[in-house]
Amino acid sequence: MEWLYLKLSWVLVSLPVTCIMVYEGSGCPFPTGICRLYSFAPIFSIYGKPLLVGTLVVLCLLYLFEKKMLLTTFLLSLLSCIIISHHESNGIFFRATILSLIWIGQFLAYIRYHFDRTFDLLHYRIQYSVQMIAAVYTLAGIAKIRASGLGWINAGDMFPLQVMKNYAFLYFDSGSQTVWAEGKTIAYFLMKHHGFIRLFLAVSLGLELFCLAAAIGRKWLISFGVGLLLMHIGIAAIMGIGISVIGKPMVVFFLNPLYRVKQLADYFLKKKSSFVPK
Amino acid sequence: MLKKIIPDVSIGVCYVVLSLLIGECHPFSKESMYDSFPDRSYTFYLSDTRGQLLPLKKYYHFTTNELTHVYNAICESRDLNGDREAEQMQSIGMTLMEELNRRRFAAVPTDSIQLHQVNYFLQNDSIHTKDILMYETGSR
Repeated sequence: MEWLYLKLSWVLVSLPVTCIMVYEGSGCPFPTGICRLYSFAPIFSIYGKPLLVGTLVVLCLLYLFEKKMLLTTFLLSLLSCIIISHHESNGIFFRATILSLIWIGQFLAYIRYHFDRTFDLLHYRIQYSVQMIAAVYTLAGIAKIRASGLGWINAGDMFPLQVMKNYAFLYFDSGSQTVWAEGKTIAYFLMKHHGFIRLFLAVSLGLELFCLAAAIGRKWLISFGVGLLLMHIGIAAIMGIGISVIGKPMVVFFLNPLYRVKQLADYFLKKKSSFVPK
Repeated sequence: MLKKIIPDVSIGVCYVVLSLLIGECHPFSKESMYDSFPDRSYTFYLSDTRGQLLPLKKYYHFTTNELTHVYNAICESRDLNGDREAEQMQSIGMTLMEELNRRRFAAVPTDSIQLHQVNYFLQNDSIHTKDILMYETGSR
């Protein structure tokens, strides 16, 4: 049952973003990834795009109904790689690598099970996805250490400029003076409270660097899930941006909120049915 | 203990190592977003000739964030590092306007659109801006 709720949440999170990426961008002006070899122009033509979205929907339904999982997860991995590479080849980065990785992780679990029937598929089809998500966070942590060292935390004195930039994005998109004033207030608040930024950045860096620990046990998974969720909420509030693309699959695979709600509902229903009035 | 942990992290560790070796080639990535905080940041905006802001989302299926990504992709494809000269900025500006025009859904209420780059930097405990007019075009 946990797997079903997880699949449903995952499809609800990944399918809309993937479909948006299908329709965004035209051609491959800055080819990257697999698009360096081939532009996939027919797939992203005016007739190809609806067909591609239709195929994605059908594959997601097959996935939800647990049909031909080896082939289904393979095709979803392949299409996801093509769509994201094509999208990135327009110079726009959704930082959506994780979408392909989760499909690839599940495909790897199914292919291992295909060759070894003693392989614990029920555990690893979720666990491989968790590993992929944790690996992406770990890479983000490593990138910061490689580029700036532990001084990344202190370099946060320049952090208000990033805040200013992000609110400028919102202002130049919408023309809203309210948003612009809000951005300036936050940026100047952060300039006066360096300690707050350093603490926030230090905790974030720790969570990212050691994220692979989340894959070794349930308690770690929940702890990192809550910590990373709070980090994403903090970033969203301070930077004026929404929860990033990786944040949503992380919540799904680390915390599985839909399944927790179902468990809670079952608990209350059971309690209600066992209540006998005097 | 270690025997139990290894299968639980092996795929993740493999992906980390491969990504560090391969770099930016989807599905591999170094995830280098916000890996440093430079001493200046920049963004772009559109205005009419009187300097009146033209909110991007009112006329284009494009966001300022995406425009900044495209700017970086153009600079990378042309091997432009460090400060850009006025001519280079004008050429990049023209390409950016072409990208924008491909995704325009409403007529812009001006005969001429100006594309600006605005830079933010710290000076004397205060955030300052420097505005650069990159490109000016007729749009209707």
